[in-house]
Amino acid sequence: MTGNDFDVQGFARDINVLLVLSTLRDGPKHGYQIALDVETESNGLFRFRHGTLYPILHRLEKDGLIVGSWSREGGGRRRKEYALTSEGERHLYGETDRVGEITTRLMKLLRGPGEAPA
Amino acid sequence: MSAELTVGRGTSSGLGVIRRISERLSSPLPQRTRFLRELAFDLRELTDRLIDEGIPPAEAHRRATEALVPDAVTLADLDRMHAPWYRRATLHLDPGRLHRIERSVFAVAVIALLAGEAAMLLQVDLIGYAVPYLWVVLCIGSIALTAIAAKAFELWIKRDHSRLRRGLTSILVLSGATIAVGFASVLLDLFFLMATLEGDPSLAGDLLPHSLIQYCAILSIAILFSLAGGIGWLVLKQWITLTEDAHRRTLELDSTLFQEH
Repeated sequence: MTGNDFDVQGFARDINVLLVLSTLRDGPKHGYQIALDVETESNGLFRFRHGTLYPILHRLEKDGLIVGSWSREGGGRRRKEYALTSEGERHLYGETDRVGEITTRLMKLLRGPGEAPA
Repeated sequence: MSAELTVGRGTSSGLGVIRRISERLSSPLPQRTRFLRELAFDLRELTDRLIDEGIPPAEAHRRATEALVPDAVTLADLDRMHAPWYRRATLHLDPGRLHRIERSVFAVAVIALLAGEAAMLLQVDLIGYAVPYLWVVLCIGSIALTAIAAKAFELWIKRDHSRLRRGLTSILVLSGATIAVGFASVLLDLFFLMATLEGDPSLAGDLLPHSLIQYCAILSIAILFSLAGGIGWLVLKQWITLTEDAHRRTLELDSTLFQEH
């Protein structure tokens, strides 16, 4: 991967996607649960605000990485749950490796040559 | 000034979150309804969850709203994502020009339909039995069918749901007019025929069979057009009614999110 291939804004979007996909590893969840888990599991470092979670969920659903399903709760109200697909799982693991590689290179750059890691 | 309201098991200010978002979204109605339903459920559940964790209701509502309610940028993102393929394909065209192109296509469709019907009449050798009123029935019927096609195009291809019921009454009137003109013309012609036969009964043998075929032709064509128009109107109306009802029920979720003291 060369420097020319790296898109910083795209990387930020990819992180959001990976955050969503990773919370779905444990099983199907509603949208609010995904938002809550991302915040809880990152100790508040990552937070979805202003509904930005929904375009991500809908895009992932369109791309086949997650699948949404509706069910009825008491009172006849309908609710939507998302689950990871096998393609989503493959994407998650593949992209996790890529992010790991990017952060390793970034830390190497920031620490300079020959500096011991903290 | 907003009334103080109960959110789930808490209290909060703020009316009509779902309605406000609905008004600001321009996605096709079914997608909009599904998203609003999802948002309503998530808002209520997240607020309740935060209250369960010991957060005061007003703060819980504020946090849930901040996390989940889309801002203008996110709404634009959602609209872009759910834009129908027709809108994406014609984005580069000036809206006025696009409107003119669509109108021209439908005008051409009416003419083509009329030409096709005339060719069919020729094929079954009915041109010889065509009274002038038959062409009026064919014209009105063609306009009715094209109006149905245009409305179906607007609802299901263009997915412009800003004015759902526009044109529905016209379709019904045109379908009704087809059969009305058909019957009226037959009655009128029958009147003149009987008046002629009253004056000269010997003409009955020549005039009656020919006239009966003419009446059958015009009536069956009028009934067919009227039936097709009526069925088309019914299908469109049913879809519109179901879609509007689903959306109205979703907007009513505002009142289940927020319960008045």
